[in-house]
Amino acid sequence: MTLKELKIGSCAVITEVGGEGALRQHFLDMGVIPGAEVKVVKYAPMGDPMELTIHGYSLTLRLADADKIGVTQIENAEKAETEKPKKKKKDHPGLGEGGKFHPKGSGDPLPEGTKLTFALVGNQNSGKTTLFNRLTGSNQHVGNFPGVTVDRKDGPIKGHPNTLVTDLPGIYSMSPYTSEEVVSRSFVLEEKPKGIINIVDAMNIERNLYLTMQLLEMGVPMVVALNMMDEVTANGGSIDINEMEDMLGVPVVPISAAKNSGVDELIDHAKHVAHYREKPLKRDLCDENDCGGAVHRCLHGIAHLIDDHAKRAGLPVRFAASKVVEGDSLVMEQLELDDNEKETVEHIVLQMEKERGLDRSAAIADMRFAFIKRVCEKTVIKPRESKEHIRSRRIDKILTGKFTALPSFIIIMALVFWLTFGVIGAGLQGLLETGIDKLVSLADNAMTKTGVNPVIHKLLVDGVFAGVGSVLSFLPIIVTLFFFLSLLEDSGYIARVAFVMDKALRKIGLSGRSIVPMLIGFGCTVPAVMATRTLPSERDRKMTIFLTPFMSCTAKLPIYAFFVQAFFPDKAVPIIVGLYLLGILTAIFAAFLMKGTVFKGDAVPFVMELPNYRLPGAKNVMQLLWDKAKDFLQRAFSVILIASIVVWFLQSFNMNFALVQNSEESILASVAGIIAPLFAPLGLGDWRICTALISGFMAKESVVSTLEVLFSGNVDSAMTHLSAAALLVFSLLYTPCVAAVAAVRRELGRKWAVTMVVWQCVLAWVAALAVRLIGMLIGGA
Amino acid sequence: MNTVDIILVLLIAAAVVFALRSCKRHKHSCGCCTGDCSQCAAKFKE
Repeated sequence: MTLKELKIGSCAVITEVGGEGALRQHFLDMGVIPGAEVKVVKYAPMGDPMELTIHGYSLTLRLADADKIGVTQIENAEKAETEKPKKKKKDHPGLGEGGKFHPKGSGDPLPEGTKLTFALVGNQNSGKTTLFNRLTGSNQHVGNFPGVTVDRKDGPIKGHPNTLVTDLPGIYSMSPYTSEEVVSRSFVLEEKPKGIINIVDAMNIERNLYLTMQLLEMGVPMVVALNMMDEVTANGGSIDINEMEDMLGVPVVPISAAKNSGVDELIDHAKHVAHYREKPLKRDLCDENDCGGAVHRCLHGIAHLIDDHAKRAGLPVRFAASKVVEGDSLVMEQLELDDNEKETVEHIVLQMEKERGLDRSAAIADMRFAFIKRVCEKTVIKPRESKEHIRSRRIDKILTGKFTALPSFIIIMALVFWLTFGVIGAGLQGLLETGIDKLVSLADNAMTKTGVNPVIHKLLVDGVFAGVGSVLSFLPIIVTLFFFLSLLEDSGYIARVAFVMDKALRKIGLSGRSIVPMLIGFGCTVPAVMATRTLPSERDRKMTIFLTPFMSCTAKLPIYAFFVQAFFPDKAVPIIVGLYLLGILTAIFAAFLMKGTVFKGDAVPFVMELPNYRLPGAKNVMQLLWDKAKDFLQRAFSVILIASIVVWFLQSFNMNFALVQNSEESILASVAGIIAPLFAPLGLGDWRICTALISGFMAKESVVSTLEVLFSGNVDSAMTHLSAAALLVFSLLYTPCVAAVAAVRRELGRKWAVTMVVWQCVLAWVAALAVRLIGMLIGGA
Repeated sequence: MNTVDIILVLLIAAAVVFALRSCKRHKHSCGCCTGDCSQCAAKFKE
């Protein structure tokens, strides 16, 4: 039978891991290996994906992937961790300390003044960024969602000049499965840090040590930081640090990054091993007695064979040998083996597969987990189920329950949007708007009184203050939305939303994780685009960024309200709701289109860990809000300021650079006049409408204000109902505002940002034309 | 142009130069150009 066929609560032993390539390797790296015990916890409300526990942690898998994993059902016997037999306490091996590993002052130190660079490596959600912040005193955002760090971050250790720690994205193995793994692996291999700080979640030690084993093979001075030790001891567990240090051959330091305990000792050890170039004492982690020693002989044989190639390529031999056995194409390429050597390697591996009874990848993963099992048996007394986990299970009964998950999700999101856009954010926005208006009017009066030059006066009031002020007024909404989203993220709920929504989103080529940015898009596209950083694959990320602008943002609401009031006062609600639905339908259509063309392929497999629910830290949330506010303000006073001045200039001067009284003679009018014929088929050929739409590129709200000024409040006399309908559809779908485009440029680069602008303008034009033609056909003109 | 005009022009020019310089200075590996970058962790470099 396969894993997919198991019922909720059933236990089984994995007998076979099917699939191929990187995905299969990823399964193996996550501990889904033959012999491992699994228990099915639940299925998502839509029946897919499933949640299971393996090696003591929660993993989610899609049913299609679970179908590739063969299992044999076993009795559901919860194994109680028993007290280990008393044994003689091992002396502290003293690794990473002067005086024991080498006499004080001796060793092989780096030349004085060499900068000690460290890579901070660990599994996702193991507390790397918390530790990074502790080490460096910086304030990087920490989330309770796997994959918060999507790129590397650097900083010197506080109080230790001439050091540099790089926080790398969380990874499960050194296989290049995701872009984060590539970033982390390349960093360790190519930038050759002087030391590695490997952070290990002590509550999930078996799975975390898998990465440790691969890091040990790299032969770089290393320290293992056993994080969350406070949780282990609080729940009745313990770890024999001395024994573990002895078995791993590297210093092991128990810490609690959240409580800042053990961090100083960690720094001392890390500095010591890096300065004295103390490499791991053990890199040969395969046991010659393990299952007849087939894997051991295979690895050693290949290590000898490729030794010269690995040295030439600058790769650690042991690491290269394991990767060659696993068939890692990147390492194979770097080694430049000749045909004879490749053939010899293949023969050795085939022989190993025959003797071991497992394929190459599974055999290597099994060898690693066998070592980890030995280490854990000797050193770890597992904690009982933590109170955090018990609490999470209880909360999950409602938030991911079959009948309660979707209603809970809808209620929570409705509450977030209502509070953001209806109560707190909107209220604060109103206050800020009043404040800005008062300031502008004060400045306006002061300039009038002092007889400031009219051009400068107009530039400041109509250009700078109007432009920057209108954008600034959105600060409260953005900060409030981020406040709620950070609460959702830090609590661990967002991982559940992805779990619940995965099946629905997969139909349009995305994975469950894309739901979050899309939801934020209803508020504002800028934070939505930024939120895509948590997506694991570049394809999903780009596709999600391209879809978020179709989620009608709040800045478009004034446009809808303005035209509905002017042209369709009796059908206000159905038209506005219809526009929102049209946006969603267009996104679905666009997703299908992109799935078959630009972004071919399937969404990344949904292999994700569900973290325990945690109470968000006030400091962390406040720091995030401050960062977002600062970022937004910096943008308002750089990009938006310049753009506002440029637009004002184009609106106020003619082609001879003379100030115009009538904006019809301005450069903007001339340019809009050229573009006007393009809009004629939509019934929007008036240059003033074109100008309003162009100004909407700066901020959507300015479409309304521009129309008001140019039409002097008589817009209903200058447009038909049909052209108003076309304009509404065009406004819904055309290019997002400059702030959103800047965010896209920031995330994906200029080429993609330009592509988005062009693509949405074309789509909006076609949709608006369709509306007009359909309207004319049914006699709406 | 009176003194106030000149001061205002100088202030506007300074704001524009600051904005342009800030965009240039913050050109990060991730392509962003504003503020401390939580994407590539490039800090605001004065």
